[in-house]
Amino acid sequence: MHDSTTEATLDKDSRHSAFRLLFDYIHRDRRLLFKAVGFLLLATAADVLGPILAKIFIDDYLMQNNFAVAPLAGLLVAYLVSQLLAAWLRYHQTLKFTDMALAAVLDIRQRVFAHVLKVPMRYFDHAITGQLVSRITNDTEAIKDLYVQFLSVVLSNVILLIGIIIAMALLDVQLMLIALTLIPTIIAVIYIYQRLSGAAVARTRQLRSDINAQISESIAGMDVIQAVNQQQRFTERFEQLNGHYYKARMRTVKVGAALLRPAIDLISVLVIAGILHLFGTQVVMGVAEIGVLYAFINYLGRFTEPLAEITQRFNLYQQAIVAGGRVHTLLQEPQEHYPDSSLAIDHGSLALTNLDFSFEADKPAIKNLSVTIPAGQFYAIAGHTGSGKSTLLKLILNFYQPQSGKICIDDRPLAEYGHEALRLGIGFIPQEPFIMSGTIHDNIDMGRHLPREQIEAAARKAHLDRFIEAMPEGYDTYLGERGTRLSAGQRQQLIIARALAAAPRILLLDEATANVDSETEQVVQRALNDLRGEVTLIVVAHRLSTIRDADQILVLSQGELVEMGSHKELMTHPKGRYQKMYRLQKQAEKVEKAAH
Amino acid sequence: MALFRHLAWFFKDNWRTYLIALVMLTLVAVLSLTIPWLIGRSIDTLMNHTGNGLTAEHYQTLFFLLVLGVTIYLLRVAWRWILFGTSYRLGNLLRSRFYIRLTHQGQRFFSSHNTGDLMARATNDIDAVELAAGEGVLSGFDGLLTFVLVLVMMFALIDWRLAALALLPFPLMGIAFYRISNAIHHQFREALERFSALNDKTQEALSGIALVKAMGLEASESATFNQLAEGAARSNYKVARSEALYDPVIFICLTMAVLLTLGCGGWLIARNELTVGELTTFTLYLGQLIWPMFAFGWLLNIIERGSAAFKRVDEMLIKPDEIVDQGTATVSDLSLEARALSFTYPGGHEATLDDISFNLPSGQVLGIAGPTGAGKTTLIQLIMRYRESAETDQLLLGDQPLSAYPLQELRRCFAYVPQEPFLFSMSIADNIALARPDASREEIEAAARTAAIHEDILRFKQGYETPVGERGMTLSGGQRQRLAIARALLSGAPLLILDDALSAVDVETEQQIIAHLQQRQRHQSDQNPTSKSSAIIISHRLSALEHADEILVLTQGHVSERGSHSELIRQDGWYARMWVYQKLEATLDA
Repeated sequence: MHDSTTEATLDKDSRHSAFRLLFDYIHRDRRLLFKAVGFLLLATAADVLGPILAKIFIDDYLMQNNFAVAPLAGLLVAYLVSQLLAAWLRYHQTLKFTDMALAAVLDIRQRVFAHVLKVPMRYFDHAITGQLVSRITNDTEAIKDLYVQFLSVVLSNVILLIGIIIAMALLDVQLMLIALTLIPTIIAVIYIYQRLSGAAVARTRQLRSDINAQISESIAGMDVIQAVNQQQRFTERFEQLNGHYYKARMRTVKVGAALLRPAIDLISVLVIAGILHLFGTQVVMGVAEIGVLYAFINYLGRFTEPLAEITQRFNLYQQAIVAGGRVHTLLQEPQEHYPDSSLAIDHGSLALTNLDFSFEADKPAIKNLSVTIPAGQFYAIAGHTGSGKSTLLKLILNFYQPQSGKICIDDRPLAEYGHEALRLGIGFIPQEPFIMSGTIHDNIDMGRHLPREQIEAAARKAHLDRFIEAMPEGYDTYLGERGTRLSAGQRQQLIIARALAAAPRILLLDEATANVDSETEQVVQRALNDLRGEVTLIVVAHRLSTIRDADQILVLSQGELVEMGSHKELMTHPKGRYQKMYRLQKQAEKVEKAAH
Repeated sequence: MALFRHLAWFFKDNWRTYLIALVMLTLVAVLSLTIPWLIGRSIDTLMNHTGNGLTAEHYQTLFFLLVLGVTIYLLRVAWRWILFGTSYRLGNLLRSRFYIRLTHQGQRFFSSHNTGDLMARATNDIDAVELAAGEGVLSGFDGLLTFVLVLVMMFALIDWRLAALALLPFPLMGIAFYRISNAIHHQFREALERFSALNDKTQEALSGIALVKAMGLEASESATFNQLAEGAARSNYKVARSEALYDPVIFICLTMAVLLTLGCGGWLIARNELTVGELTTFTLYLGQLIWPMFAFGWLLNIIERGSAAFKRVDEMLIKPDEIVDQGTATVSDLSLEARALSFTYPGGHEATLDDISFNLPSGQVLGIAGPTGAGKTTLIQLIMRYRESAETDQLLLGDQPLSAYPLQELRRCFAYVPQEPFLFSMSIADNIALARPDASREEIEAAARTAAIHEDILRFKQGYETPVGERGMTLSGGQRQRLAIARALLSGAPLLILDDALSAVDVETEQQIIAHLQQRQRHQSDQNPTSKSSAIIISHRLSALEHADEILVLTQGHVSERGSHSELIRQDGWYARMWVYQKLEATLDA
């Protein structure tokens, strides 16, 4: 009970803030807004002038048999000008509002994307990527639909209604009052429609997503369904759901048919009958002007359309508010913060003191770990699966902050470095080589706008320069998605060049876990050897052969540093963990050999 | 129109309902045209009014108007129910058939069609067909009918000269509508493409978020995204700009028509050849011509979309069963034999399975080991007939090829636990009882105990009623595997197939389950000595194979080693080396 109430208030809150988020944009560009509203008012005025001119023609000239050329020509010109102007103004007003709406949505989209990229890494551990993508694209798309529709359809139709009512009042107040009864009646009908259809529409949507879920589940589990011979039962289950869906949709059709278009048309026939009757009494009293009736009937034809349009946008409005609420929540997610400092990483020495870290309470991933890594040294981190070696790398990358303990680079805490200093000072080579579709140059530069020489130097260091220069278009050679034009080894070299391009002082390498061919392994080996002494190297190794030459090897077990030393030193401990791992790896190689 | 030819069976089956709906539509069209006429007549009687008080004729006309209004309302409501209801039925029918077709397809089909595409066909495409069969029929019929009737009224009943002149702008409106709807169609497609590019970019950036953050690519990723978002906005703007054209086109054409009507009508009235009432009627008719002009463009669009969608749906509906199910034999002997079995994936160059032979007499256990990609799962898929090799006499059950048995009969023999255990969105109990929905709670719990999952289940708040699957509780990999084993055991099928189904379970639990299985097997065989239960166990962890009567080691599609566990560890092959490796690993984990 308590839960549901807090949820309800939260919902109201997010509704409110979603509303604010959406409507803040409307008066952001005031000039455009004034212009658009001005156009709208003028267009409406010119629009409703038409039937009035027709009325003047009928009552003052046609019925009087007065066919004086000059005033008639004047009327004709006035009619033409006002109507063409109305069309022109309306078109441009619509475009202006659309412009505003699209600019607003574009801004929301760009803001939310940029925001999400700066949310701390921890957030992504629990976030479902598909859902996040949907917030950024689908939800903003729903907002777009509302904006475009709301601004250009609802707003202009409301103004048109007001214009028509004013014009009617100018012609005949009594008749206008009868026509005016249309508005509350239709609002009442729409209200009833919303009440009756709301649940049915929600149910239809729910059932539709159930149908989707059931199809996708059946496809994924078809082998199981077939293995246990339950095709018949699952088909019946699906047909039952399908039947519910049909019934729910029929309910919405019935409610919609009874209350939307047909009802609005019926009401307008009733109003016309009322107007005809009142006009009849005016005729009896001798005060009637036929032109007024003509104009009224013309107006009424325009009257129902806007109301029907507005009705149909209601669902859109609801969807957009829900979507806006979700986008707003995402925008409220706190971002990671970097200090505004000019501190740069000059040497690349690292000191980790008493680090403790856990993803979940009671399950420590790193336990009281301390180590000092002098600048320019080659350090390796080894350990069995789940020992915490990748986690340690993520801590150094500042993806996560340790619960206690401290990480210092060049004797200054990590938190004192600005974003720029960290991304230039620390290079990172992830497990999966990621190649984007673009040129070789773009793939090394990665949007950092580095000078050409630096990119070429990086390619040289990764031993990729000769290969690139042999390509007909050199550095401008286009690489398709996933870089299929390159061999696995070349892809690895490209990633190394990318990490080296910004001339980092510290290079972090997360070695690929998957089977890597010997070419790729050699590439990595050679690059690491070349870099010795130039940068501080920290390699998370899955294959111990890669790190034989490391200055120091840190051996982790269940988050603790259990052994440390060079390969030679560690191999002298007969019962040591490293030694066991080494033997295990040798055995793995033997197994591997037997498989071919 | 090809679409309507393809759907002819449906229209034929439902011709009565369609006929009723169309008759109602016709009535609505005719009656709607009477309203302007009544209004015009009422104006004329009022204009010629003399004397005091309103005439009976005036009241009569008003009464008619009210009756007409209500009648039209009822007819409109009714045809909507009928027409949309029928088209929704078509959708349901197609969806059901689609689903049934899915249940007849094998693994080859599912690996060559991705789920997203199949789902799009079952939902969005069927929606488009529905739309064509409902609103397509409506806009085609109603548009044409209204168009003809209005023209008849204008020309025959009011004044043909007035009609001929006033209608001049309408062809222009039709042409403009056609062109606008064409443009929108293309621009809309472009907008969709841009949107999907935006989607892809977002997906890419978020799944590579670690790299983005590590390399400080936030700004450049945002810049790329912004560019794509601007492109999307631009193409949306194009669509909006085209859509905004509808209004001025209607407005200008109607203005011109009204102007021509007033001018020409005025002249005719002055010459006493037309009444003011008729002029009003005529003006009201003009407004009714907008819908037909619009309907034709709309119709073309709907039908085009419906045809494309129907083609995609039909493609799946007419696809023949991948596995031919024409066997008639009944299973009497459970011995399974492979004779020089080979299999190559369609389009593949190398054989996935090559010259595999084994014999599994009933009551025995066959173990299969080997590195990833050696063809172990493919072998199981062939035994289950999820796939089929070109030569069907290489796999025999009770000395007959598998295809000699009906699929149901064949699969009833196997208690299969796949590599990736799949749970449906149901309770745990229903998931275990999948093969036998009528199983009692005791039977379900007994199976859960054998699979060493009973205790875990009791620890959940809702116990056996806990919902699992996509919308239910998330279970660990090991729990899922054990649930799938319980499911297979409950089916009571005599031949148990475990496809690496213990990989996520710890060694102790694995040994516990294996012991349970052995017990059960002995028990069953004692009870029913004629059809003893046997098992095929694929496992990466060799400890699960120790008790097998024979073990095959598959490497690159062929049998590289075979024998019992004790025989195999005495050789220096893959099996023996792997055995040492796993023992070494165990000391690391301890």
